[in-house]
Amino acid sequence: MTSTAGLVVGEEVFSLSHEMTREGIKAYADASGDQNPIHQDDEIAKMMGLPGVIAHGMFSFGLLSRATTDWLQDPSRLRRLGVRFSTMVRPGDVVTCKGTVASVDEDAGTAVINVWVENQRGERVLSHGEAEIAL
Amino acid sequence: MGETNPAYPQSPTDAEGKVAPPTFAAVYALGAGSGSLARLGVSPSRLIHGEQQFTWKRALRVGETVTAQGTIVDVYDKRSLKFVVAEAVVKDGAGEEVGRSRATILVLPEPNNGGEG
Repeated sequence: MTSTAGLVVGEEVFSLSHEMTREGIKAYADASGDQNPIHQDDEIAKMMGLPGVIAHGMFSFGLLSRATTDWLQDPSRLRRLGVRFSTMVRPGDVVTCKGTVASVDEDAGTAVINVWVENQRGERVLSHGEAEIAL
Repeated sequence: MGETNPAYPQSPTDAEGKVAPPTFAAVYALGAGSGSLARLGVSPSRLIHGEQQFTWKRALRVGETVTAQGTIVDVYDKRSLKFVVAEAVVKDGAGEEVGRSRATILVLPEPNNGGEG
């Protein structure tokens, strides 16, 4: 189990990068059951006012969850994860999931981690995120 | 998703003592809310995920059955877009709550309706 004793507020606890591809987005659609055509069909996506297909927001959310539980090792220590979907992710984008310590409550045995996902231009695609974890 | 954490199954037969990744909740909890929108006749291509939060009381074991009950808790308009807030409570076979989902979903205007928002 990863030691979360002595977490320092502000310290970075994980960073995980992933390149989004059309194949990966299709695989996510099949695995999740979310077959919304804006993630697979450029024409329909454009009809909806998008520049073309975009990745599922939950794909990036899942990567953020993976980054968090890779760090925690025991997934049951993740109590809460929430984000805002701020910017579209398109095929070819490289997203990076990051977490820094926001606060530690030793008495309650919990900590809050600021979490976000940014693209290769440093824009936050998932923002205003928090994870609550058991120490 | 590229998960390699040994807590999760690494193959279809690797189930003993394994748990579901937390955001597998996208499969068992999220549909309970967006499914309600589909029943209202809103095409899925008009739905954009705005915000999402999950809370978990425990990890779900491979093989167990859970039930998600979805509720539309709020509907409001902002900047000519419609926002829907959907919650789902997930319970295990014993009726104990195992987790919750709260999603904010933007509903895009219908295409070709003559308006540019």
